[in-house]
Amino acid sequence: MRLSELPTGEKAYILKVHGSGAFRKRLLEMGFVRGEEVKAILNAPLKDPIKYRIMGYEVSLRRSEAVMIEISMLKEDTLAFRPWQTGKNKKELDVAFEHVFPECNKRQRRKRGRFRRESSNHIIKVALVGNPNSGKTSLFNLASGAHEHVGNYGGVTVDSKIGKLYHKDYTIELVDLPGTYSLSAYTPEERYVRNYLMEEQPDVIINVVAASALERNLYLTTELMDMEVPMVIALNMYDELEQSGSKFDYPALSKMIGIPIVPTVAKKGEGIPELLDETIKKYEGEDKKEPARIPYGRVLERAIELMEREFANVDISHLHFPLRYLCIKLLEGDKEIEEMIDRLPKCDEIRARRDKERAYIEKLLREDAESAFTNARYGFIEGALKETFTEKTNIHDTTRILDAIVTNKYIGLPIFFLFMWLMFEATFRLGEYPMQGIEWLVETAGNFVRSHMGDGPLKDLLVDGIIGGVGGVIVFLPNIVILYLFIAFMEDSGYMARAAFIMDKVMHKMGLHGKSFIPLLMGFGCNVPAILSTRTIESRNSRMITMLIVPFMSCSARLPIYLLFAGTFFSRHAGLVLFGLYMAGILLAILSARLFRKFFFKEEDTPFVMELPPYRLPTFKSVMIHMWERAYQYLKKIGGPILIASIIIWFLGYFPRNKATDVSYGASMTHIETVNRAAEQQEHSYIGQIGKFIEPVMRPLGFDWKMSVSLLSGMAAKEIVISTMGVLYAGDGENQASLQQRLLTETHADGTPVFTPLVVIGFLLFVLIYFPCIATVATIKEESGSWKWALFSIFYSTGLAWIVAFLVHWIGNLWI
Amino acid sequence: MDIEMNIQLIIVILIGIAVAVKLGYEIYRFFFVKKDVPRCNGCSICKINAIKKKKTA
Repeated sequence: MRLSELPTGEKAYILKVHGSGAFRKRLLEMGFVRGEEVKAILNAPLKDPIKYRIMGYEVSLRRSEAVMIEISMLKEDTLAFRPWQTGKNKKELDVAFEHVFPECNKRQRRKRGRFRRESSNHIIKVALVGNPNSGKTSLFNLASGAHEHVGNYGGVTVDSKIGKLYHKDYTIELVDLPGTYSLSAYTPEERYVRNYLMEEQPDVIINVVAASALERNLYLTTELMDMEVPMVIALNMYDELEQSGSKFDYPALSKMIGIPIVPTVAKKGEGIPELLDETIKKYEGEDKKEPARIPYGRVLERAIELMEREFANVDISHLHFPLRYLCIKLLEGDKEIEEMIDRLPKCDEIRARRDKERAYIEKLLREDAESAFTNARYGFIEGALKETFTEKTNIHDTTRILDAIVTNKYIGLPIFFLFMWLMFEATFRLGEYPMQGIEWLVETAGNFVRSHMGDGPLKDLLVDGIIGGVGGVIVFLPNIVILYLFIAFMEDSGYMARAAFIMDKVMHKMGLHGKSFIPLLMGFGCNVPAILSTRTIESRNSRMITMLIVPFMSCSARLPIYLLFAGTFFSRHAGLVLFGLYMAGILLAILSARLFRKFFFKEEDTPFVMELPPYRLPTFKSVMIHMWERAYQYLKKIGGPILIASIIIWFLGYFPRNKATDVSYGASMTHIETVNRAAEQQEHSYIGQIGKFIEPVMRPLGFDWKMSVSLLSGMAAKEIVISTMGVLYAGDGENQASLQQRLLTETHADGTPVFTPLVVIGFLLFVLIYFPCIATVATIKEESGSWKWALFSIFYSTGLAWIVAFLVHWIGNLWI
Repeated sequence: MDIEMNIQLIIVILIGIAVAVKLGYEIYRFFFVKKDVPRCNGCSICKINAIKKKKTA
């Protein structure tokens, strides 16, 4: 029987994982090992993927992937030889240790010279390692006082971050590494973490283990133990374990494996001083416990021993890996290690021995070496936890109830779209009140300068350039903050992973991965971190496609433009217009993905193995930090690029001064003459000439030269569209009116309004689709490794924007 | 009045020069200054970095 056939709500036991390569390895590492109990929880709204519970956590798999897993309804079918399973108590387990690995208790192990500190200075280099979503970054933030981004889903950290802290006369350099399930060489994160540990050689490693999914989290610990790194375990989210009613004798486990374990609650800062104390003890060598070695059983241990003999007289010190670890990884078929070995003398003999031992393992254990080692590691964990851990799973009740609603096959998708609509409606409606206050402040500042300063270019710069430009953008600060409140809630609660889960089928149809949906949702905030977050996607082709479609997600920089136009021209249905624009972005992204998959990136997409974290109530503090960070960044942008751009646009619109125009109007002008003179001056200015130059291209879309120039300046950053409009649509020159009022009264020379509903819709769609901002283009270039895809993104998006806006204008005119 | 106008013009020109210098520097930095820590992890293993390394070579 295959796992895909397991009815919802039923339990079964894993027999074997078929297939090969990264997918199979990932499944094994995530706990799909022989004998493990698995339960089908529910189907996603479109019947695929399926959520399973295994080892106390939840994971989603597509039907096509679940079919690779062979199961049995009877546990007896799955029993196999495992030395630790024969022992029912700790004593017997110890005997197994002694028997399989006698030198372990005799303290005859090779000293870990590679990691020994060489000087007695008080600077400790500490690396944080752990599974995705185990709370490493929360711990890092709390310990070092940093404000790195955190969220309740795997893969938030894609870059290593460095922080510094001081504890008891010691300076601790803390490095937060991306989350990883294991240290195999299959994904970039795994390889990165492994190479970091070996090449950088931190003094101590803090292995962050999530107490809520202990068994699976300890898998990485077993690999770290094989690597013989000096380690302290932070048993994070310990409060969740206690609340669930589970009992964990962690001191006993610590004694058993010879590694200090400190319970922590990183979110609240509990246990951090104790953790740092243990880290210092480890660094100073005060911790006398000798870490245990994983006993792999007679067959595997014999193979390791024979492999080790093969390395006699071969210098491997430059490889930085312990010999035993090298042998294990060679036997497992780790490609990176194989490449290293191929550069050694006697490599042919080593390879031949390896192949022989692999065949021997397969013959005796009736499973391949990779599965055998993974099974052995999980067997070791199972044995160790049997003595120390009594599990109760009350904690997941809330998650179960919430998931039954938000991932329900009938109402899951409508709830998602309702949430999206609510987000945009709240962004617009709730933001309106503080927005009016800021608008009043901007107008008052403008009128104050107008009435208290003598005429001259500086006054014009202040009123039209700086207050008009920057003031037009700053009014949208409350809306941005509200949008981020919703995004922070999605990220911190665990709903982000659910959104990926319910959308996987749709994404799969488009040749993408459910995981791609997370960067797309993050793109609503800012496209740059969204593109960076595509690093969690294993397949390079899927990652490239996701990177190229992220710019179609309306980032918060585009939000002010939407709010301005939707609020001015469609005030009754502004929320709906916003929702429509965001949905149009998603639709275009999906269609583009399909196109890219068909023509540029034909490789099959990767399997959907994604952990679904339990729901967690976001803390008030973390949400406030999210919102403050965004508000700060927005204000910084206003004080930087937007201010600079407003001044440049003003200069280009103010110069050259046309003396002939001034003379023709004379010294005393009527109000209408003043307005006409300003318009004429602007048309003859540098910006007017640029606008007139590009106007023929934009004219078919119904855009005048001022709109065209605004779009051009918006290439640097989308908010600049607004500040440019604030400068160019300067109003009547008497009172500081809001930009909204100025746009409403803007007319062509023949008196017809510039902004008709069709022009506005076309303009909004153009803004949505065209040129990603400079920062996004630079990130695409960095992440794809070449300018080719960055340039492609520019031309593709701008071309598509023109076509869509043209179709709207053309088809709309046929109807109206 | 003329004096005030001239003073205003001088200030505006100075602001213009400062903005032009800032803009020039930002453009220079964007195209020519190599970041100490590149956006990616900077490791030497994934395909993306392989492309980078190849180009540097």
